[in-house]
Amino acid sequence: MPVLEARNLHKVYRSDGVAVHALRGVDLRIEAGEFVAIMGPSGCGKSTLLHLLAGLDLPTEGEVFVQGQPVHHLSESQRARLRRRTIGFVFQSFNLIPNLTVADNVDMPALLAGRDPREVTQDRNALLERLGLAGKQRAFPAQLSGGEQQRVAIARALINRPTLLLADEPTGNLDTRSGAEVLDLFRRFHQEGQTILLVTHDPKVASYARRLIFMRDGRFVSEMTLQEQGDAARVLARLLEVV
Amino acid sequence: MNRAMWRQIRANLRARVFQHFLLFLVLTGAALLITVGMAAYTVGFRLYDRLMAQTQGAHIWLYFSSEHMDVEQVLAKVKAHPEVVTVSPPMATFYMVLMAPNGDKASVVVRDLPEDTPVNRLLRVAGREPRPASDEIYLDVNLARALGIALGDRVRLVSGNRTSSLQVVGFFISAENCAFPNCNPAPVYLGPGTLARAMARQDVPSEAWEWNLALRIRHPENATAVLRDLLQSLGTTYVSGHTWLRVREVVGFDTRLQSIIMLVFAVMAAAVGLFFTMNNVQASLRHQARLIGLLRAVGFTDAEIAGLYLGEHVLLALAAEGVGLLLGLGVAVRLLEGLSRRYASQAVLPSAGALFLGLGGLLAVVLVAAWWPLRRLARMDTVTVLRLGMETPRRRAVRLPHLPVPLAHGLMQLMAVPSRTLLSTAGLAVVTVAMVVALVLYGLVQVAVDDPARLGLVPQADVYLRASNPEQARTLLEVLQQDPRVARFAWEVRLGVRLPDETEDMYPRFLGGDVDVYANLLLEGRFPQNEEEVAVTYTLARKKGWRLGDTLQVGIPVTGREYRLRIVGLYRDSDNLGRMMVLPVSLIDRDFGWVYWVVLQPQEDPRLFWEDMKARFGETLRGGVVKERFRASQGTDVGAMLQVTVSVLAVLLSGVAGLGIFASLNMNVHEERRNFAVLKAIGMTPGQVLLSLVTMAGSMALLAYPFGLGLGMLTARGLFHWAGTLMGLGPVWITPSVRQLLLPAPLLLLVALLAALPPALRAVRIPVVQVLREE
Repeated sequence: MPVLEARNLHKVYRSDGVAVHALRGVDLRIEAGEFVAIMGPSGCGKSTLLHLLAGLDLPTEGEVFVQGQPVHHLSESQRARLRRRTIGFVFQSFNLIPNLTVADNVDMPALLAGRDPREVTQDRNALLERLGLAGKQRAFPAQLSGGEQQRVAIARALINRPTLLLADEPTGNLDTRSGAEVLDLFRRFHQEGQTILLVTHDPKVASYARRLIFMRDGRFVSEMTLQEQGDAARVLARLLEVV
Repeated sequence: MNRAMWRQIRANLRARVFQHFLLFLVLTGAALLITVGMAAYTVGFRLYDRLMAQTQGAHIWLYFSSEHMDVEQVLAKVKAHPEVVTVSPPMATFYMVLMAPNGDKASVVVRDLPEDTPVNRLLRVAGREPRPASDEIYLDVNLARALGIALGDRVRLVSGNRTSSLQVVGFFISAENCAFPNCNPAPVYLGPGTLARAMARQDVPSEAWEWNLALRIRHPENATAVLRDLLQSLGTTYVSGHTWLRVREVVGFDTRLQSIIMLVFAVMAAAVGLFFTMNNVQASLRHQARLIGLLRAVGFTDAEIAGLYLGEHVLLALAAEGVGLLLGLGVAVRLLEGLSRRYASQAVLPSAGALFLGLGGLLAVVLVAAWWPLRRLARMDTVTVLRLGMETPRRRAVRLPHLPVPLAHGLMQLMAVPSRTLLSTAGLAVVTVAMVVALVLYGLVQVAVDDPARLGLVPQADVYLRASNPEQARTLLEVLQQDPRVARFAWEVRLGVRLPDETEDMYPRFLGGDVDVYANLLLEGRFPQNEEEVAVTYTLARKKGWRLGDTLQVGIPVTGREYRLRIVGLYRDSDNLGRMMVLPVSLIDRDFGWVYWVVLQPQEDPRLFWEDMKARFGETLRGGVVKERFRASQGTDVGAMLQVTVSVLAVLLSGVAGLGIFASLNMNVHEERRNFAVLKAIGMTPGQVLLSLVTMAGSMALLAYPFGLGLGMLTARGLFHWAGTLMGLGPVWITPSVRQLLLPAPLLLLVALLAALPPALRAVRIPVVQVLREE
């Protein structure tokens, strides 16, 4: 059973009475352990797709299954529960709660899921240590650099050991060095078996994935597999072909 | 204020229209309550003053018997006084018992209707005046209402053995009428000449007639001094009198009680307005930090920016005061209906001065509340707010408490903006105060109705009996002494007594029998046991500065003797607004009383005893079972009005504070929109979002409760001590029941939760995707 499957996804927004087709029949299947990147220019529908796959929004047409569960048939509460158990989400702008400590930010999804606080503390400490944030538990987001904040966001996304990690332009707000650090982390987690789907417009970021899907105007237009992670030149060349 | 500022104020009001609308509602509620308070404060005296003006009410009343004083001589001396402007014709009066068709009765003073009198005209409110020498009767409308008498009814007047049947042809109100026994108001008039002819037919000697004179004077405020002069020139032994000031004081009593309570609520409403206006301005500064930076960048000074916010809130306050004033007048008319009915349902309107004071006060409160947070402007750094769109730090950082996440998140939100939490909590605490005051007062009135002896309103007796004539009074004493059902009884006679420095007679109680029946009225010491002792009321002692052990000089005009009496007790007595004392009956050589307070053997039924007494003495015997008799008189008038008033005010204030909490949480949801979206994205369910907001509101309510409870108890205690003193009872307090103390908690919680629900639902409906895209 695939970790994630989307069939014929359509999403139409209405803006001032005008229908805007953000997605026009997207099919996607991601197996456990895959590292997939969806690439495309701004406005091609990448983020919309990610929101539908995470159950944050519902498709106008089509179906989404996460571990075989039909997300499109679930209530908002059921989708929230599915999300916190199964999906980790990393945002471009980190979206940490500014008045919570690093520890509390990371713990939040686990505590929402009703996990034992002692177990959560152990997991959090281990994660923060791996992410190079040991000793920052009591810090507040505003006291951290952008790269550190994104690493806290990754810790938060992984605290419940989700089956699927979704990332929306995870390095978009970071400098080159911090971005590279975050991508290295993604690679390491993937090597440990974490399934990852990220969307980006940056070929260098996309090159960290093993499977690349190119998007344009709400459709998948091409797909490629990378044997070697970080081969940005190849990705860029392909991107220039399809866009 | 320049045009640029006006434009910016308009833009600000439009930009945050809902938040401003909520504040408008809060201020409207505050203005409403203040209008009601001011209406109550001014209405009583104004209505009475108007009635005095309409009826040429008397400033001084004189009473004398023609047995000792010649009517014409008195009239001549009175007219000769330089202050006296107008004098009524001498009015003969007679004491009778009025029997209503439903069996109710009252002891009344009856007069003939004077023809074309220049003083104390009667204001007709229904029907017509009685014709001369007819079987028609004209009644005070409030007396008729109390006895259930309608126009056209036939009533009976009983005097001794004679009974006359008369038809009610009209109702009036008069500035003379009040509950103060000194003033002997006449609530019953017969056709001109009727009474005089009837008395002549019965061979009542003219020496036995009592005469009244009504005077209007040049300087009404000097009525007490003029009365003193007149009594000195007439000889104080056989003439007594009272001034309109005393009547006015009595008339204003229940109004004052109501108005102080309403004023207390008005102050509480203003406090709620203060807290939530401060909240609103703080929120404006937080939300519009970047705008403030931009305004500075384009040339606004800090004073002009402060002027924008002040102007915005003044406009809101003025609009709210306009609406609140109209609504408040409507509510005031309804709440004070009972009072206005006593004045022939004349309109109840607050004076312009009181309104100006009340609403001006609210405007001042709004200005202060808006100005206080604006001091932050000076600390705002233009570059920071332009770059970040907010001040740094925007919110206080807090640790997540070790609780389930929705609860912890709710508490964290409270701690993140402590000033807003404190202001909202203070608003709820004020509501708790209102609830506690309302509940305690409600309970107190209920005790007064159910068990008046417990509050010291009446002696601790089962049955109360009042004779209508001396023969009946004597027989009653004999019957009670021999009846085995009677455990003990006390009796009393009321007779005029004069203190050296007083112009008006007091009518104290001369007690006989077992005075222990009155023991529940004692506050300190004991009742007199010999002819050298006296007990005085708490109020009188306080007014005169008397203490236990002090000696008083007391004159009894009827006997013409003077006594020096030592104060041996302080007690409660609401009669004559507390101007009362208890003297031993031996001072006046009386061996029977007019009023008997009877304690029955434990197994006896007071109702059966009373029925038996009625059967034995006939319908002229008045009295009843103590608990039942006082239920009607205490429970239906002031008490019932107060119960309704405080309940309505507490509900209104709860509504105002509820709106404030709604506004406060709405601000929170607005500010926390993004965080709620993130929380929902990482797995917070709608139920958990709801619970988080409900936790905030609930926590504020629970935090407010103990403070409000403490302050409410202090307020209630102070209010009731004051009211008890005003009534002449001295300090009044009934320890509230556990239920009364606990009930505000769930009520407050309910208010807070209802107020939290709309913002919570708004948070639940935050569109996650849309908010996350707003970067």
